[in-house]
Amino acid sequence: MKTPSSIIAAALPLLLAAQVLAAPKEHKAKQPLDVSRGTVKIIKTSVSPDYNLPWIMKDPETSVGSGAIIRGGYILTNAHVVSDATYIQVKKESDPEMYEARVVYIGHDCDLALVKAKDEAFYRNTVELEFGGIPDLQSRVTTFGYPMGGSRISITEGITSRIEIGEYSHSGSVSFLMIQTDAAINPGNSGGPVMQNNRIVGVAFQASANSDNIGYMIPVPVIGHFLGDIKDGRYDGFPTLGVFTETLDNISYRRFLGMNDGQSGVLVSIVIPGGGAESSLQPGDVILSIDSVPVGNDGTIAFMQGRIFYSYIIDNKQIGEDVSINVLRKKKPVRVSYRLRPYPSRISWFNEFETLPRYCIFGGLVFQTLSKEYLMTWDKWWLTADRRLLYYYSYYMSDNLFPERQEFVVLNRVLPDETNTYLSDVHDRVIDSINDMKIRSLADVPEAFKKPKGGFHVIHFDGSSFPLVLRASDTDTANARIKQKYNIPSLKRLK
Amino acid sequence: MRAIILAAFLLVVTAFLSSGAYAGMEDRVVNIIVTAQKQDYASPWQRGNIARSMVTGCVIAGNRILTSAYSLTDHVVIEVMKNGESKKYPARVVINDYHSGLAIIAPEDESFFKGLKPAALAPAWKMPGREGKVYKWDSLSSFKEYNAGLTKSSIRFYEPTCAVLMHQFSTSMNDGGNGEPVFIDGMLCGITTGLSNETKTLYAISIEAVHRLLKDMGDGTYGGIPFFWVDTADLQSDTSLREYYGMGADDTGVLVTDVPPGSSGSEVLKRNDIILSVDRTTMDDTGMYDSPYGKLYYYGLIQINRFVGDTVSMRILRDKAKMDVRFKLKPIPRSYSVIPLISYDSPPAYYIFGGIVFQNLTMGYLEAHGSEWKQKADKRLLYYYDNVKALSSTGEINNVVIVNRVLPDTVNQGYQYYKDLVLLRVNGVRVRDLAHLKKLVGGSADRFIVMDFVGETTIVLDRKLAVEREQELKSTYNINSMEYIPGD
Repeated sequence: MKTPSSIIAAALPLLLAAQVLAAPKEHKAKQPLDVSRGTVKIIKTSVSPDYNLPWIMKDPETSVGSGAIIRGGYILTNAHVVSDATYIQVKKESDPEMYEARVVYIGHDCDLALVKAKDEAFYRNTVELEFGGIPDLQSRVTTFGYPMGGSRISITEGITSRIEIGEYSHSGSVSFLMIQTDAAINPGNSGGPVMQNNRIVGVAFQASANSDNIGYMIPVPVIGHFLGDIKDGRYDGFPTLGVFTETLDNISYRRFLGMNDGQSGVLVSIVIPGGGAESSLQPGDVILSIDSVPVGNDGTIAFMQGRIFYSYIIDNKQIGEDVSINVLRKKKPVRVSYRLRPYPSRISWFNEFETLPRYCIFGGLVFQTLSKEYLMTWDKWWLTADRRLLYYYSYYMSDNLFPERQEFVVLNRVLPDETNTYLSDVHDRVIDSINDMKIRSLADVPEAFKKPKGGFHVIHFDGSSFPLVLRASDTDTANARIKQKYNIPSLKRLK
Repeated sequence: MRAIILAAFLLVVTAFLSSGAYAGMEDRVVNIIVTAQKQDYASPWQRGNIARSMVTGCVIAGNRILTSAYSLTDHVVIEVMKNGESKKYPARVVINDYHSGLAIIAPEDESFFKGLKPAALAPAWKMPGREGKVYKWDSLSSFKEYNAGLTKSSIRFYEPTCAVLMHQFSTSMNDGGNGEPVFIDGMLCGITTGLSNETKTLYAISIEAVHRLLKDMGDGTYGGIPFFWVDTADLQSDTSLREYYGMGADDTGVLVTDVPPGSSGSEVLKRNDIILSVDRTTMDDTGMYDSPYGKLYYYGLIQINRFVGDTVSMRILRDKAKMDVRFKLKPIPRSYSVIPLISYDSPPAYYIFGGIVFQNLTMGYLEAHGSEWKQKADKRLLYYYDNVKALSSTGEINNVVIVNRVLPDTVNQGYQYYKDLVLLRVNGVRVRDLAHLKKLVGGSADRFIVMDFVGETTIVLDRKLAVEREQELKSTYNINSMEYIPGD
């Protein structure tokens, strides 16, 4: 059963991906497979940064999850089980030993990761689990894992109750195919395999916070995308269609656009700058089909016995692949084709991991970029965070706010010091300019401070003409003093 | 239900007629019963819930009753009662000025004042003491007196344009802040307009505001508190900022940050001016000047006892040079803000086409989200609210027209989840207000009505179909009229 360890990592996912496609749906194992020998417990310690004081880290936390051993000795689990990890251990049920492990690949958008035990001895007496397909609705599935941190494996049965596109909450603001089951999925189940006919049909990953007995798993097409993505040795993530669309349920709207009764599709409302579709699609285009798959007026395509949102077609593609689209433009059919790119964001709508906040401190003024992580430093942030910041976050794309800005630079706070003592209650303001230089990215901030105006640094914010003024001659000594006084290792982290 | 409870009270309490312990005050303080009906911002074609409340008024000279304007909001019926008697006298509103927070009502039947005496008003700027008494009628016929110790006087704003001098009293009162008079040494010193039960603080509109109101009304026309909508920021003794603006060591003042057109002074003040003094009264770097009530915000110099038409002089620092400017005080325009900031007493305007309910973005619409409206309302609408001055200054629109909701019907299939959208254009024309929208839609001969909203959302309606569906929509949703556009 033990996998030869000579297979190199980069080559392996290819085989796995092929396996996904080749897996027969109704595979029956000849002998009963002991799935528990392919299920492991994962114990992680993690530290994450504090976006409120961007130079410090929060306290370490320990959490427990599950994982499945797949071909090549990789342990497939959720990204959130191993994200921001400083130390990972894996444990088998039959073995008292804990083994150190490391993350080999991690995909935060699809909440999947591959982990490997450092010591080959871990793999003794384990089985490698194979992939199945998408389970039929109402068919039985079995979840394996270590819920609530218990040391013995837990096995729960349930049925496949729904297959839909839904939000993956680890990153947030991203939606992919997911399967709903009534098999109990609790904290600690995360990353464990959901099995049918001795094959993995999903990775348990999240539960509904509001209702009982609704658990979700990541289905094989999404796992296949992840494994296909890392073929080149790097995880790049999912591509975007490059546009936002609106449904065309209203017949008058369709008539206005010149669609006949035989045509259906969705309307391009926003072409995302830098999203790959800029030279191919225009606002007002009607997307009739994607890769020759007709799109309904409600934005769905045929899928299994029912219909599913058209994004499924794009979600099955990798960044760099082409897409071809039939559009109705000014009442005339046009066919366009373009290369898919990752989603570009000027304000990140996603939870971030394995990354440290960028910042720049000058004269005690802490500059950062506006992002979801920044807003989440407020308790109940969606209700309580600064209203201008929430508006920018929610609507910067649709309202096309400050298109010249690559990102939005925010004055987080002022670290009180004699140089800025009259400014110390200024916080959470969006920077418009520093010393008459328009601020389009965090990197502009240190540049702008190099050129004071008439002996002063003058900072202007969005929404007010009231400037913030620092005496230029004071700031060098103030910077050194503030760094020392507040015990800040570095006054900037721009990358 | 409420009427029954009220009647029951009457029977019980007549037995406890006022003992006369506060001799002389019962005949100056009267009970006002306000029946109010809330506006329904969710379904603007109907009215909301009906509630009755008891508030307090104070008899003043000329057979009039003074109370707090905010006690009368959305009133349908106003009745007054006196001396613990059960007889109710219908009353009318003489003036209800939400800017000053004061209202004057008068009973139709002047015999009401038989046995009542007008309160003596304290003179302006001469508070007779610091220990006051607040009076009200509890349960119709039990007359109550509470102590009220003056703790602070300050300038407060019902609207960003209007400064009102208010006093804060610490009190043991549990239920109040609804027009009760505050007397010090037998003289009326304020009309309450709010009570914080947490801090036991009673807020009262100053007698100076009462004097201003009465004097303003004296000639038969009411000019109101003068309009001053200039935004300033405190310099807070910030040495760098002071040096940057070239202020001398003895100069203190506030920085002008925004001058919306239409405001008094907008023709002479400019952004980045520093206002050093108003009518020769200097202010400090936080905009405070010395008054008999302690430090007050400089708006007081322009608005407390000033009238429309008065001239104000200011000494300012512009481009590091001092200069004097003068300007005449203008009245508050009927609509100066594209988001009306006070929307009491008037039902929300609306216009329904194709089942799409258009309304103006108003304070009332936002507040209909509940007490936490600043958290719960749509983030874009809140941003518009927060930046209303800039939005109003462009002059492009008179109101922010929004889609409140869509009443589902075949004509608007696919649009029924739209909510809180901000309307930009109809068939390519920028929409200035509801009346303009109605004109654009009604005057169109096109097959389609194309409506563009902020955020790249578009609604297309078949014009004929929308008109055809109107009767059906009216009866399905029980709507008496598809529009209410005052002034249209």
